[in-house]
Amino acid sequence: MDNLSQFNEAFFDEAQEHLETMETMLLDYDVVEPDIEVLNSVFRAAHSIKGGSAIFGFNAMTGLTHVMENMLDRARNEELELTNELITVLLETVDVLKDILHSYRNDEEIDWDIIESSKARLETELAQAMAQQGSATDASAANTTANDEDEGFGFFEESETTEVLEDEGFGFFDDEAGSPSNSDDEQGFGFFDEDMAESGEEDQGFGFFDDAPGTVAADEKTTSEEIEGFGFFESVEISDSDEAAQSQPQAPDIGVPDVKRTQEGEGYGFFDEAMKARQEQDKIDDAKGYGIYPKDEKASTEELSTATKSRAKPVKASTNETKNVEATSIRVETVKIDKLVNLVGELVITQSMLNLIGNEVQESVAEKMMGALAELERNTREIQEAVMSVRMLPISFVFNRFPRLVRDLSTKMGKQIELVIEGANTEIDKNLVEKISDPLTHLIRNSVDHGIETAEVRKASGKVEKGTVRLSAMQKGGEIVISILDDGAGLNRERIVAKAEEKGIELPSPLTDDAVWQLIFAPGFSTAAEVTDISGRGVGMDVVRRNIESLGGRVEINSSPGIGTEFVISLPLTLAILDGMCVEAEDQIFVVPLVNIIESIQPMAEQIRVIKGSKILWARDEYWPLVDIGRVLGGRDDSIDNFDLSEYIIVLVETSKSRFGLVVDTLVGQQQVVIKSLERHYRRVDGVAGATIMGDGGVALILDVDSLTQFISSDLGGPSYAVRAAG
Amino acid sequence: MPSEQQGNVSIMPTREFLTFVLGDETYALDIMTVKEIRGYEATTKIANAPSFIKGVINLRGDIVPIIDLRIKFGIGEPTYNEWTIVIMLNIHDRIVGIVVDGVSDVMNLEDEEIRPAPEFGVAFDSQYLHGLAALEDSMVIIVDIEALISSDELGIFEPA
Repeated sequence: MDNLSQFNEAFFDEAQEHLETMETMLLDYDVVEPDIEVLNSVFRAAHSIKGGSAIFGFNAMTGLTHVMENMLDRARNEELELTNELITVLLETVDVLKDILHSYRNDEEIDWDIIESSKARLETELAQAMAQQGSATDASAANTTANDEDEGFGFFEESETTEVLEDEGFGFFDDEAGSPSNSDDEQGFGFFDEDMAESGEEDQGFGFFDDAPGTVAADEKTTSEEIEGFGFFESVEISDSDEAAQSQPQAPDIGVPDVKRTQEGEGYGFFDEAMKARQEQDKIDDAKGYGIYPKDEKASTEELSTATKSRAKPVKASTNETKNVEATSIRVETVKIDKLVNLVGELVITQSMLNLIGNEVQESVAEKMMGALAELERNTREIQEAVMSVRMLPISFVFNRFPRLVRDLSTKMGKQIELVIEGANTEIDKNLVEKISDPLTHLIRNSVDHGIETAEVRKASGKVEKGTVRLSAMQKGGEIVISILDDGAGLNRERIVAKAEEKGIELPSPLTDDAVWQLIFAPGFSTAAEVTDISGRGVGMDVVRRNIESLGGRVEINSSPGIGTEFVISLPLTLAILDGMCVEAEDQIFVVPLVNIIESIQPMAEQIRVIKGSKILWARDEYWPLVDIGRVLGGRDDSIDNFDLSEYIIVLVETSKSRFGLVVDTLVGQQQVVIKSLERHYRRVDGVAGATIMGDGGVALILDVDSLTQFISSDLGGPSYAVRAAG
Repeated sequence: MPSEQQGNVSIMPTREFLTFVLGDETYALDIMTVKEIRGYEATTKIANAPSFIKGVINLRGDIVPIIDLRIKFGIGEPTYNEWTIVIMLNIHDRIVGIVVDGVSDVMNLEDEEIRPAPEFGVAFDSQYLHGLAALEDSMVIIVDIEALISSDELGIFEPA
């Protein structure tokens, strides 16, 4: 197996994607008007994972996906109507699979108990559902529709019995299966994001199941057989794909005789036990991304040496004959992309160096030189944009997990909440995707828990019973703006102030609404009358803000009593490049992030006041404490309190915590800079977020406006307004 | 990492050392830690750093700190001209430049040629020294450069 280990990583990646596909598809699944294609996609994903895990020896996953596949297969053969409950169970299983995958990936101990219990649970659910939904299934057994697969199944015992045409299938069952089972609420949610929300039914559906698992296992075996049956094909196919090559058969199986297609038939014969490998699917899936496939599958299969066409599901086969689309994406390690991004950063710097030199050329070549340089500049910029775009992912990578979260939470809390997602295609740097997920989760939980009222309260206050949480993302200038808007009760000003006082949090002095709202980000603050297990422990909001700020972003809150609350997160488009204003102080260049800058002014003498010996600036109808960059970072010993400030430039900046002025000698100009880490070879420096390389090859420090606040020391009436004490 | 270093010594009988000059004294460091040698160039000052940290430079895209050992140990005059040399070191996967008065030679030393350093008479604390070796008619001080650069005393790296 050693030679297989090199493929493990590929398997993990693929399995992860398949699991995500399954989750998304299950969430999208419409219980009332089922789409067989969706089921097929889920099935394929499960099948692929099963095959892959078997090949690579991740048996924990194999067993569970096998059972899952069983249920799915029945569903897509219309022997079983997938109810909300069943979907909940399936989603929970997906969760378990994710955990297992994670364990395998990190070489952790596998928790077989959980696996066994989810298997048992699935089987029980399946058995119950089958029993309830009635006899229809049996009848269908015979049918063996055109597909090869079907036939394959047929062999196996009761198992699946067959496939009814899809269309018909659903018809059989009128009632939803309200099976008794219970799923954890959490899981239930995700499925129907939008659909459900509207209907209200969902909620109820979910409601049924509170707890779940632990049921007795139905017989696994039956199910397994089917699955295995499928397996055959794959193994065969595998030969083509790399991974495939290694497949090994494990499952026991049942030799399936027959099958209409000869090819298949052969396939089976060869591998009796083999089974699980379902590479074809994998291949297919990968190639396209998920979901799409009907034709693809077909196509790909054909290509496979072993002609296992049979696998294609009936539906697909019948649906379209469209040609398979060649894979349009490839998997690339992020380190390679990061390297590329770095190299482009170098290129940008080199290009600006060349530009500097080019400007000095006086000779006859000057004109040609300038032309070439302009060309180079344009190409460089295009390369840079192209490379950066490689790192961009749609923010739906983050947003996709929230429908489920909201569903789980709202069920748990007995609220009716619809999550509306907008702008999911907005692209965001991959690094941000990973880091923004936790803060967003927290804010959404917060909206669901504290923001939206219960149905009764909403009704009483004349609102529609179903609350709405609107999650939207858009690009605005050089920033990504993410908004979480709920139509709940709004923030309660009095309660926040009272709470802050109770907690000993210092109140800002002009107690504006904005200032009050910002209080909820104070450490240890929580307004929930009682702590729920969802939120309310008060550990989160300050962490949320800190996380967002560490990404160079900021959070704002808008709220109106009775109307709702909006959290607005602004993030830089990317972590690698920053729009900055270059300023000079003490002969050094510093870069001030443009997002922090409000305005730059040359103060007039009368705008400078002295309070307690420190100079402050009066501008825009307020007092601005000052931070002297020349002194704080430039190494000058003298305090600005001894200078005539009207000879300096003051850059007014703001952070989520405070607003103040940076005293600098001159403004140099606005520029995009490539952010370089100072910690890589040195260490963190207070007041400095990083460094960049200027056009002349020199290093300039990028200011960390947030941490510069520490250089403001004396009080100016409020915690956030302070002035640096005179020397 | 002095202990690790010594471990290496016993395994590798002969090692190459780069000798450099600080003031009137000749020092040597393990050549395997040397990334490159370049002339001194203007640095970008780092606020609130000790005086021996001259600042950072751009080394082909990496932001690298430059340390002047002459200031740190009070040896020689910290002057900067076209002959001032910076030895770029690669220590624990980080790059650090040290300013010296000059680089003279590469020498091969066997373990037994390195004698223990005296407790006194050397600017460096003995924990940063491997020992002394004879070079023709003068002494070379063998510096344990890894221990020195990564020491808390220098404070270049974030304390672990």
